[in-house]
Amino acid sequence: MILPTKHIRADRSLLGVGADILPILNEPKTISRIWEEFRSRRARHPNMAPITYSWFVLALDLLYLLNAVDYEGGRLQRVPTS
Amino acid sequence: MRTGEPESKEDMDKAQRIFFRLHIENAVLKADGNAFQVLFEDLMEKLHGGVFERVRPYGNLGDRKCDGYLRPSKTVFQCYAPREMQLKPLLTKMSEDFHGAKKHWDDRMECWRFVHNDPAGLPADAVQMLQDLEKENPGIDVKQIPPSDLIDTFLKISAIKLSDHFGPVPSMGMLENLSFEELQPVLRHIAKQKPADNPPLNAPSPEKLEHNGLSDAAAEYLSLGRKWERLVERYFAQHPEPDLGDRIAEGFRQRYASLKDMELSSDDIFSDLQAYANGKARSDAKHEAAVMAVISYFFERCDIFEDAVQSRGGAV
Repeated sequence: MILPTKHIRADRSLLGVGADILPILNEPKTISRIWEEFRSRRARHPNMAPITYSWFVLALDLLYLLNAVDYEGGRLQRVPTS
Repeated sequence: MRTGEPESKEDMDKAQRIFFRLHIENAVLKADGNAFQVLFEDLMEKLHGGVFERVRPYGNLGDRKCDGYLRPSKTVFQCYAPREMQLKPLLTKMSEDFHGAKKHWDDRMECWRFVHNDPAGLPADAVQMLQDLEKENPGIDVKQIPPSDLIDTFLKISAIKLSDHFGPVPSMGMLENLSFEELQPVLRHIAKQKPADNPPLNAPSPEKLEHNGLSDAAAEYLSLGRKWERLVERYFAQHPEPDLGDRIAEGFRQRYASLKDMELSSDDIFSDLQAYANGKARSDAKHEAAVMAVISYFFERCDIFEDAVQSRGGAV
C-alpha cells in the first residue's frame, strides 16, 4: 500500500499520493480544502486516475507518521525541514 | 475409434476450441462411476446422432455388458471410471465385461472398446490383457480409449451441440470486445469472497494426484487470456480504490494456498480458482471471457501457480 506493488502504480501508492499532497501545503489548510485542491490537480492530468477519500486520508496519516506534516488549530501544515 | 459423419472443423474458432477443450477435459477427468458413463453416452449421442445407441439395464437382464453401441462399426463400449483404479478389480472387470459382451452380442460385436478416464493410463497388466483378448478372439478389434483420445473425439462435436451441453463459450470476436463492463462484475464478486473458507471439493484419488502440472488445455486457456491482461491492468489503474488489485491478489493467494495444503493437482486447483472467480454454476460467454482475463492477469504476475510456472521451466 505504502510503496508501489505489482498492482499499484507509483503515483497511486500512499507514498506517491503523499508526494502529490505536500506541494499543496504552501500554507496551513483545512482537510477539506486540501482534498478539493488535490482532486482538481489530479483531474487536470488525464493519466492520473481518481482515488477515494479514504485512500487520501491514509496518505495524510502516512505523512503525519513520517513527521512531514502537523495538525494544529484545525489545519494541516508542513513541518519545516531542519 | 471409427466415428459417424465428421463435424465441420471450421465450425469453432480458436477461443471456442480452447474453452470447449477445457470444459470437456474437466468433465471427462472429474466424472466417476455412473456419472462418467452418462457423460460418455450424452456426448457420443451428440457426436454420432442416432447411430449411437444407449443401452439401459432392463430388470434382471442387465445391460448385456454394454455401455453404448455404435452401429456402423459394430462397436460395444464399456465404461470404467472408479474413484481409485486398482489392478485386480480392473483386470476382473475387463475380463468379465469382454466375455459377457461377446456372449450377449455375438456376431453383432466386431469391436470392443474399454473407455476410462485415468490420465496416467492403464497398468501394463491391463494393456497386456487387452492384447491377449484380441489375439484370442480373431475378428474382434479390442482397444482401450484413454481420456486424451476421448477429449479429442468429443472436440469434433459441433459448437452448437457442445454449447447445449456446457453452455455458451466466448468466441474470438467476443473477446475482442471485452471491456471494463464485463470485468466489473467478476472483480466485484471476487473482492467480496472470503477465500480462507474451505473450498468444497472431494478428496481426489491418489492416482490422480500423480498427474501434476497444468494440462495443455489449461495452459492454452491462460495463453489466450494473456492478451487481455492490459485491460485488467488498466481497470485496476483507473479504479478509485488503488488497493483493489492487491486485495484481490491476496484473496487469490490465500485460496491457492489452502488448495495447495489439500495437496490437489494443479489442474484441480486451476478449476477451483476458475469456479471461485466465476461465482455462478453456469455463466454467459462474456462472463467466462472476463474470468479468463482476470485469472490470466493474476497468473502472469505469479500471484497464483508459482509452482506450475517453475515446473514448466518458467515458460507457459
